[in-house]
Amino acid sequence: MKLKINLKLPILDYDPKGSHDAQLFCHNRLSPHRTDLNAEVSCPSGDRRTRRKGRSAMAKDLRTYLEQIQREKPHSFLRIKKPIKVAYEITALQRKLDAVQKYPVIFVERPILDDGRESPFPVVTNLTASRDLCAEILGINPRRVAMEYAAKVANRIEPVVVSRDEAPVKEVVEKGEKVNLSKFPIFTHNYMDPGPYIGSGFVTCADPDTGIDNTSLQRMWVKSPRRTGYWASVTSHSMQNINKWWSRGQDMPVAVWIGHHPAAIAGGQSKLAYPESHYPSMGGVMGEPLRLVPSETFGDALMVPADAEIVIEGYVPKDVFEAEGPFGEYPGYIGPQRPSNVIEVACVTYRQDAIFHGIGVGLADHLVFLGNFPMEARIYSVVKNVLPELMNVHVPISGRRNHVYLQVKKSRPGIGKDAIMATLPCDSRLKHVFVVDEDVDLFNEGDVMWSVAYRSQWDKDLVVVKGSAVFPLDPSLPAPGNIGTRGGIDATAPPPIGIGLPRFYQMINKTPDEVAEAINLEDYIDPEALAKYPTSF
Amino acid sequence: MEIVEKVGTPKDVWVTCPGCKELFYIDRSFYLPQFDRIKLHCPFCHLEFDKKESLMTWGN
Repeated sequence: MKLKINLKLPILDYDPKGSHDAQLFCHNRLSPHRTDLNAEVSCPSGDRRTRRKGRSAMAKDLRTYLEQIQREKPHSFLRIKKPIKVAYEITALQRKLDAVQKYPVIFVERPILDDGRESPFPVVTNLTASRDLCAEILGINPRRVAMEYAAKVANRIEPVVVSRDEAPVKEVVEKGEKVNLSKFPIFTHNYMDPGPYIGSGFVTCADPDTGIDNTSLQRMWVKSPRRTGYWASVTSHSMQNINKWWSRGQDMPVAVWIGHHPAAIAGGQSKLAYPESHYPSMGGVMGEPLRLVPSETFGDALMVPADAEIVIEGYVPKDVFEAEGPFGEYPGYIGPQRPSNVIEVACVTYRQDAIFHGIGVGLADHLVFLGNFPMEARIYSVVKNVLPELMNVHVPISGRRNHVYLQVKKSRPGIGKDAIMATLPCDSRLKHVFVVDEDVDLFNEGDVMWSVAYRSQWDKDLVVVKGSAVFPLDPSLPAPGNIGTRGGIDATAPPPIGIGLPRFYQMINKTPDEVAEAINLEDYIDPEALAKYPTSF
Repeated sequence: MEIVEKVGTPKDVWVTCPGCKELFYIDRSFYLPQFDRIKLHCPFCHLEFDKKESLMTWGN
């Protein structure tokens, strides 16, 4: 052991003797969609169920979701049976689907590794690319993500701890020189990426002062079988933990989990305070307690999800920095090479037939569920507290986390600018806030831009904040790249000048209601001809 | 070695790999004292080199 573990996870009552069995099963609530469809999930190396030890038949995991979607939404599931390379080809396929705005979950049966061999582990990707599908996973309305997702995150459910024998992710345990990350089908995404990147790894570390864990999705360049690059931004909670560990003269323990039920992933990406564990939020979004198990390297000082597909354990060594990147990130630009931390891998545990979850970095798969949903929920929760007139929030794919659309009920002057000021500090990635009225469809970008075009004057409706701390992945930032300009536009019409009075703003083009109701397309146009008429953009 | 000052995107510094001569870009923080000795890694040929070995550097 390289370092002294002095952590405690106070929320957990872990009993290493296994006397917590009653706890294990308390969350095993039956639901109609949890019947066994496991056989539908491809397992190239044989029947996993006979080999698997102790998988809880009820706990939500990646497999229960894949079973569910194949049964309930077969047209949302794309199974690729042909061999396809993990270097560039899977991402190319996703990019082409993105271009035609089609977002099936993709299951790759025969991923080809960089050395030309076929991986024994299949791949799932595009798991989180469709807004509709993602909302359905969570049981929420895709147009009410902000409030309904926020409610789920707030409904924290404490995790339960299971024994090692009950944890599928412990089916295979490899330590020291037996570890070889290159056996996994890890994607290389963009032409300038220096090698394969794990884009789907939830890096879990702990605040050494309190023992409270933090989980966040962070990129890891696999540099060699037991060493990865690891970039955490200076504003991240992970970086706060790194600084604390290093100030004590210690390396930071980490455990990186890959592959779980999308609801668990959503909870892992929730935006919380610091220090605050994501595990109860994962339970809240899943609707059942997350099952945890002690890590191999750090024991109960660093717990990991028992139902993950893969867990990588190791250290972030003190004061070690290496070149990392360039790497194509969520803005759609390839970010520069930068000095970054590394992870020295001590152990990897995984299911015998692990399914590798890869993320289409910079594509909808990376944006919708993993960034936009948590941002919408966070903004709604924070801003609603100070501005009850806030009605809804949409973080559109097009703005790639830099843009947010707010809908407000403009009952009094000043609401638009108040909304902008309250929103900007919610997330360092936010750059531009667009505030619109309640009659604007927040999910129709044409409507939002129409509102900007005809309900704003830039000299009086624009808010510009210079010298703000920002996320450094924006290529338009001036050097050194962590301070920039943020702002927003109040694109709302003036409010009523008194209670009971109308808003004295020009009326919107409109056919009389009775005429609009009487005229139906199908009375005049053949539906087949309608489908062939030219569109516009 | 030739250095051209402040052109292109000001946030990044563009360097040329002395091995394969391909162009890529690095964050300006490589020039901070604490990171000054970190070797660059060519994403194309994987050569590790000191930034002073860059054949052409733009934006420094």
